[in-house]
Amino acid sequence: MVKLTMIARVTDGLPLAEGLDDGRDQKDSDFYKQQAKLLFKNLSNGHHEASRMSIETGPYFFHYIIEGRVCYLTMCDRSYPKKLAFQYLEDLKNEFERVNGSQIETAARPYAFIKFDTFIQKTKKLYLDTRTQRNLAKLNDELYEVHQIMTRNVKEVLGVGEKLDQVSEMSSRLTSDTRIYADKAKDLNRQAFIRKYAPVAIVIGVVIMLFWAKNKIW
Amino acid sequence: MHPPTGNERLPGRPVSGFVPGSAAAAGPPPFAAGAPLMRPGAAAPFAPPTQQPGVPPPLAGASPAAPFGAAPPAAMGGYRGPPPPQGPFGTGPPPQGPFATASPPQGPFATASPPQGPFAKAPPPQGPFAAAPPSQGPFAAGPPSQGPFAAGPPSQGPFATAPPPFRHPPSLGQPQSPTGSGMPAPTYVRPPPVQSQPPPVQGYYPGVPSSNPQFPMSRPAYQPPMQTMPPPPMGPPSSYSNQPAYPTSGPPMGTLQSLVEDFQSLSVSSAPGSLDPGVDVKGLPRPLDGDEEPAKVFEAYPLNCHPRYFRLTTHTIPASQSLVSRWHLPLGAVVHPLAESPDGEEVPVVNFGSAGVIRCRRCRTYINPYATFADAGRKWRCNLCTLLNDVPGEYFCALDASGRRYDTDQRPELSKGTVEFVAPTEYMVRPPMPPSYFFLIDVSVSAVRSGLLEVVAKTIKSCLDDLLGFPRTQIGFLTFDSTLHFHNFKSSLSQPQMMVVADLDDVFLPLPDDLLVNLVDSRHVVESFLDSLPNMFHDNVNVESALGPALKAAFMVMGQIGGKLLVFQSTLPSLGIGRLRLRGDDVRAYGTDKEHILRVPEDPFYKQMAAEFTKNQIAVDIFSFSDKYCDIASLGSLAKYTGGQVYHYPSFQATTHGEKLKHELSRDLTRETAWESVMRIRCGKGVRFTTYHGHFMLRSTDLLALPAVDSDKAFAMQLSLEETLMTTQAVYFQVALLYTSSSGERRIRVHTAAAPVVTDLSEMYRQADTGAIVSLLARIAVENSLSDKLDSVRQQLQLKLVRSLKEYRNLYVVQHRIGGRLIYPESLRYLPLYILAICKSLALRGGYADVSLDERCAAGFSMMILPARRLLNFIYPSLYRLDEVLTMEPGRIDGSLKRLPLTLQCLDTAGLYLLDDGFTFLVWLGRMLPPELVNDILGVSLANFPDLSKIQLRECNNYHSRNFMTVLRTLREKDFSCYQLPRVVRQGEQPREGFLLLSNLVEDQMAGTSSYMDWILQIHRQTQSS
Repeated sequence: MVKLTMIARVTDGLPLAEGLDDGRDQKDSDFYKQQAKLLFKNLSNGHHEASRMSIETGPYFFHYIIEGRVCYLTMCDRSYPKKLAFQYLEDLKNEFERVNGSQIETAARPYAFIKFDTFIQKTKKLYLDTRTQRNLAKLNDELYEVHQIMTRNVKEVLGVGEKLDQVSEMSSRLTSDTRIYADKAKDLNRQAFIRKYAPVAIVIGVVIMLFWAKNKIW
Repeated sequence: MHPPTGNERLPGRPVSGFVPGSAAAAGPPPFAAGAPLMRPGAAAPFAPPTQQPGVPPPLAGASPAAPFGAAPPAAMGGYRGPPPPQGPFGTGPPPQGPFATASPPQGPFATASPPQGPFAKAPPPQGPFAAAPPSQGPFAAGPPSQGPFAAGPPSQGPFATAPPPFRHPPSLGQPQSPTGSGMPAPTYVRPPPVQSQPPPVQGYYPGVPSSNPQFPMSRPAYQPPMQTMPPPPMGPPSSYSNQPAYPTSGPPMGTLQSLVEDFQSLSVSSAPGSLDPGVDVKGLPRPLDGDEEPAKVFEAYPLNCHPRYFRLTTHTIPASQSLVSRWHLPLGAVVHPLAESPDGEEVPVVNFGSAGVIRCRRCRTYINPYATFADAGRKWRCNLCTLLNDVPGEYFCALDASGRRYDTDQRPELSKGTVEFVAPTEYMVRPPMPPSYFFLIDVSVSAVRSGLLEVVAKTIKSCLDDLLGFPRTQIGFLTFDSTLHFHNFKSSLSQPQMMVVADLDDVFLPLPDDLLVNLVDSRHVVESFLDSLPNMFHDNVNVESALGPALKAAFMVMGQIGGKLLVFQSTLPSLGIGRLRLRGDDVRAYGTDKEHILRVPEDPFYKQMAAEFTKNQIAVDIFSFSDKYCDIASLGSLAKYTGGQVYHYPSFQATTHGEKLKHELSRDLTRETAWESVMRIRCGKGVRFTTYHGHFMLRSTDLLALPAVDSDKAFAMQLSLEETLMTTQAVYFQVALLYTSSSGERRIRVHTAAAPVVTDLSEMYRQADTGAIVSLLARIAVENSLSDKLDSVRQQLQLKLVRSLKEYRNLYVVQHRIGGRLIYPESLRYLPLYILAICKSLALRGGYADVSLDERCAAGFSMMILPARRLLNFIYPSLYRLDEVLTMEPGRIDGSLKRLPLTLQCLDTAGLYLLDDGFTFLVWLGRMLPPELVNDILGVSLANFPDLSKIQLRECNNYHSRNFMTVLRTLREKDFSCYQLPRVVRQGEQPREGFLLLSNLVEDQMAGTSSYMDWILQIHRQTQSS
């Protein structure tokens, strides 16, 4: 059963539409919405991902497809057939591109296509029950293959981003650290130089002073 | 024209006109004219003679006019050189009302006006009157034949008796010399076309002196005799010119103001022992032009938002606590965030895109026209907290030499006081909600019998096309009596299914969804439901009403989405949780300390429910129809805390009230609404908003949660001073309303305004805004009435008024020796009347017997949300005389409607009057009105139709009726938010006339309340006693 549906632009993670909330039975929908938003953010940060993917999170699965720089994401129960979920997303994609295709790039405000939620709502209802004739037919449709779609865990996916962030952070720290090291080394070098030649210089200075004084007195 | 009343006394200065216009010709006009007088150039006011006590009514004959007319030019001619007719008037507003209404003498004057101009300006006249305060120069110059006067009889009595000086005028050309000893002779060239100079002395004469008491001043000779005249209230002009201390920002009105009279005064002293109270009733100030928006403020601060969005009670901020405590009136603001612009002006929309909304880091103020840029445009300084913020790269723009951004004019947020920002995702906790409407309809027997169901069903059906938010709109219905009836609107059904839930203790939803459905998908089901609704319950005889459980069910249905919940309730809720009992008929409670308990919700259930509703973005509108008590006080609290509205239709009958309900319900459903909104008002350092008044739920200390808000709702708030504002020049205010529009956009509407900080109390009075003060006072009073007796609420109001006038008096009384007058600032001239009107308003008037408890509470709820203009019209309704208008051509009707003072004396038994308080039209038929006219309008003969309460006004096929309906339509078009239901009452028809009309004539004395004149006297006495 479909719990959550979101559509966002991949380039900047801007949400474009979202299914109407009727998560009456769902107490933790906010948490999963947050995760979905993180996913979008990851995508917009340029981590290249497959255009179709399933991600497991808690008792649910996120399924998404990316097409035409738009990401269509839904969250379903574990038991919900993957095949149906992706067909659902395909339906959304087709309709969304048909209706709003030309304006996707120019959308400037969040939820610019919120009107699409009525379609999401309607389509969702069609996919609610897996045992209807229509859905059974879709399940048996051999033409639509979903086996090769990768399944990963949400921690992993979100973790990749985190790890990459960490690495880049570490590397940038490395550069700044090297710079500090170089500065410090130069400083040390100078100090060593001073330590080495200072006594000699002082002695010579004293001698010269003495000479000068002698000349002056006598 | 009313003959001036005998003992009208002139206010100290000409300025103090009270009643422009209303008081009509002879008497008051000078007053009215007074105001313009002060301004240079407006000398014309001289024209209308006012009477001095003891002097017979003015001549008013034509003959006096002539000489008068002739005379002035002569005199003036003397002074003036070039006749630039209007030029001199330039600075002064052209004389208005008073002139129009003025009596004959004016005519001549009008012609004479060109010469006057120069006078006003010309200093020379002053020379001669060395004794005269300079400011009076113009006056002195005014009356041409004064020369003779000077020589003439000193006191008024003498005026009448001693015409001789007057007779001189024939020789006008020369007579000037006596007075004009000092006048510039050379210019004295042009004698006017003097006609005959009859001795119309009296008429003419009284006019002059009375119209400006300074008169004596200009002619010292006069002064002593004029004992009855109070000394001119004006001190040396210098004291005035200093006063417009606008120490802060640009004092655009400063110069003008300094010339204008500072205060007005009203003579209330009477000769000891005389019966006449000494007040000219006709001369009292009356707000017959309705609300005055402080347009001057807007002109002075063009970067401010328009005053229709934000009005301060005084457009100044006192610099110190001591000043606040001397102000006495409430200090605060009235905010009307979604006010409709009369000319359909759109609020500019700004999208910052990737830069994000530009706000101050510390105080979260939005960027606004008062923000200043620094560091070559890389930083901006917040005008509220003075923090220096970075300008995001995308928003950067270079500055010109004066530190102004080059793109200021292209960016509305930097050049306009009102803008809307497109809110990015950070401002959303969820995607924008679809507008949704859920109807909770009582179908018990009284609703069926009154025809309510039919009207409601038809109205909703007719509005389906116009509901907001197409195509996302959600709609649902729940009907209830002793059980709850759910209706399934699944789009695949052809007929709605009804499911009855009888378990009131543990309400559950019989269906998981399809109770609140998308209107587009289920349109046919909804329509067939509405068609069958009246019949469905046609035979229902159930008298119970389970409102509480129905509310719970509604909450379960719409909790996820939010939206608007419209409750149609026609009896007292009698079953389940939230059951209420009859308590309104408890006479014994009145006048005791328990009185107010009747006006607060009885059952905490309603407030708790309201809190839940607000949390889930549900706004509740209550439509109540009971003919018996149905505890509006409790039901209304649902609307009060959810940003809703209470509509009350006592004894609803579809035939009579149907139109009103239809109009108001469709307005409620189709007006532009802001959903799931929150509002916050920020202000600069040193001041803080403390209390808020209106319909909302306060979240945290200063965040107003408004599940739905629209253009019919205004909010008021009080301000307190936290620290002394020593260094600040101006205090800034910013109202921000974050909302979802019906089209599903998240927007932030921002209104910014600045007000100067002042250290001078008189400046605060000068900038006072009566409309805002009255709004705020009325709301405070209504709120107080929930915790106090009506009587003490009224006393508190009176006390505030007295204190503030007393304080004002103290400012001037010593300086100007105005013993026996009530003085008040020009800006507050209507305040005493409005406060009297608040005390007599439906919500606060009288006691138990005067207004039914439900009506009182409903009026209280209305007063809490009305914007200033409508509130003023509600407490001081407009009264028009129609019988003459009805015979006019339809095209001229609008212009010829004149408001009349609300007093029985204005009602002529041969007249037809219309009273419009914004909620109802009251048609009053005089006893002597020609029966044909009545028949034409009513469409029936009065004799055959004894019960006027059942009559309906329809357009009949005759001239009068068509015109009458045009008038009603014209008045309704001025304000769409309410539909005024016409009710007809005949003169002398008791008791209806009493509670419909007489109680609305706020200037008259009613049982236990004072008339306007008594009120003024009372206030005056109290301001004098220390």
